[in-house]
Amino acid sequence: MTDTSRTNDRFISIEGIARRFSTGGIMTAVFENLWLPIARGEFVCMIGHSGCGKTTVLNILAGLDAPSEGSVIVDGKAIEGPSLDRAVIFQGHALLPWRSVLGNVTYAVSSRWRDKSKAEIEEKAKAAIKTVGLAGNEAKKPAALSGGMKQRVGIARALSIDPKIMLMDEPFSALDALTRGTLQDEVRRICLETGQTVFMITHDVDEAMFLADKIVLMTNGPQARIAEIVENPLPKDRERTGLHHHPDYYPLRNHLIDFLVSRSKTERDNRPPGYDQRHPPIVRPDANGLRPAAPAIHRAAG
Amino acid sequence: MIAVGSSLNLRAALVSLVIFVLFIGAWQLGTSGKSAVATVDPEYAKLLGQSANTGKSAMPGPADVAQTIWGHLKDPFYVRGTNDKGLGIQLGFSLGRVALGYILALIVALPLGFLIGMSPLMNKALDPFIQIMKPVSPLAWMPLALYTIKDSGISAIFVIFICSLWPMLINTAFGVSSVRKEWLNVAATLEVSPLRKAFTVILPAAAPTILTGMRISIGIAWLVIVAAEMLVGGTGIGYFVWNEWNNLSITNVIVAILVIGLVGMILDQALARVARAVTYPE
Ligand SMILES: Nc1ncnc2c1ncn2[C@@H]1O[C@H](COP(=O)(O)OP(=O)(O)O)[C@@H](O)[C@H]1O
Ligand SMILES: [Mg+2]
Repeated sequence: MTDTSRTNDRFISIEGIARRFSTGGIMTAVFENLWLPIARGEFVCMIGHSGCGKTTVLNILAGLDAPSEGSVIVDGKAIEGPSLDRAVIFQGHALLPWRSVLGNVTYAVSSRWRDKSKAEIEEKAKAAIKTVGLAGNEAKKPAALSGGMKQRVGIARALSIDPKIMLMDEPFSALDALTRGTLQDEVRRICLETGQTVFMITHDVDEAMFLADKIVLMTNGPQARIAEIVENPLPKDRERTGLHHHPDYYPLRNHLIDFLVSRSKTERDNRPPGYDQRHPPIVRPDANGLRPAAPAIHRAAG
Repeated sequence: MIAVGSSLNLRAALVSLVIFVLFIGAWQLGTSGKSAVATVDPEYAKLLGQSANTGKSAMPGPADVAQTIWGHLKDPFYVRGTNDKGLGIQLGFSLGRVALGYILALIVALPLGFLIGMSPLMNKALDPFIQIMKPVSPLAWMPLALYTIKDSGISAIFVIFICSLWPMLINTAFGVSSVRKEWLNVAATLEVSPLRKAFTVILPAAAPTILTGMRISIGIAWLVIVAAEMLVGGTGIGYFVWNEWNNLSITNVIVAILVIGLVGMILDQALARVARAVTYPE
């Protein structure tokens, strides 16, 4: 294996991280010895019940939190803090309410390129605002926007800095189904166009199935584990609306739902035989049944 | 009911007017028995200050006060000796002291409040000092100030400084420490430098809280300056009140009370306007 393909297969490499919190003098581990590779250009969704540590993983990837043990390697370098290469789309949009839509995006652009002229910064920000379909709303304050529009501004702000990685924490969970659908379409289009590597947390199975290349299943916490990495068998050129007609749709969906309903509880303590925390099983549930997938990355990691 | 917003305002204004007229009427009625004093030229009445001791009340009626106000308005800046300066000049002295003490307090309170708000350690370490200093009446500092500074004018400014400091300090620290974590995270993920973060995230986020503190401070400062100037004497609206009391010119005392109230209201409204400008809807 050459070096470049190694860094491409493990563009992001979570290597044995643990995160412990002490509450009232008692140390509890949210998770321990967590391993996960993410390839360049891959869209990875993580699902699991609330409290299992998804946000904690994302915060560590963002550099906003540090693991108690282990490290995360991105593009060959260990994460030491937040970086403009890793844009975060926050659950609560996190727009600065005293800045306009344009002001929120230019804030990001001017942080990225400190010596760009004001005109260049505005041009870049306006382009990002246009990409998320908000052209014409530049002067509005966040308070004047609907929930969906606010989240679009958050996406525009993340896009505007040309990140290498996008990290999203349940970005659409507060939105109504219709808005969520359109935003999912847009995020998928934008990520495919820009070749983004994406790590996204969701608790919506359909969202994960539509967007993700791989779906990471977390058992319940505390001491959560990655139970499985599910490869999405659905075609790359999928459409959200016709997805449920695909023969692989229900096998995949049932597999995910089964996990959330029962296995996420039982598998936390009863590890399946042969389970290796460092190489969580990769499976591919499709119309032909459930098959273990064994991509190169798995062997190379050893 | 037909009570909509504008008609409520209109009716409130009407009630205010009625109360005002009733008050003026009652005042007129209460003082008209001693009209002999009321018709006397105020300057003359001043000379006859002792009239209070001769059984006649020196309590002026509304007309006297109106006339005196008119006199002050016509010539607010005269100087006729150290003890006789125009109301405008005295107000200017007071406002100058308040402005100086207040701005000095702001210069200290903002950075210190930032420090306290951002560092839980400093917050805990400085808390006992603030808690003890805060309830001390600013006038209690006056002897210490006079002793160390040896200048009554500067001592008054120091007292204004001390009384303006605490609300601004406490509110700045509180505003800074309660900036939403997600806004700080935005700045962190954009690799914003600490100084830029302070000015572009923390300051605008905490501005409404800081302005609340500034508004409390200006109110206290304006209350305290009158008392302080009564103590140190020389100039200022507080000294004017005290001096007119010694002259037994109740008319001028009433005028001063009205002017103090009016200026206090203007100061408060000015800061309220700034507060509205920095408040953001969420
Ligand atoms: N700052 C903290 N202090 C103590 N416990 C925390 C802290 N942050 C998260 N936790 C705990 O870690 C666990 C995982 O939290 P989180 O990552 O937010 O879960 P999720 O995003 O999957 O719902 C929860 O049980 C939560 O109580
Ligand atoms: Mg979460």
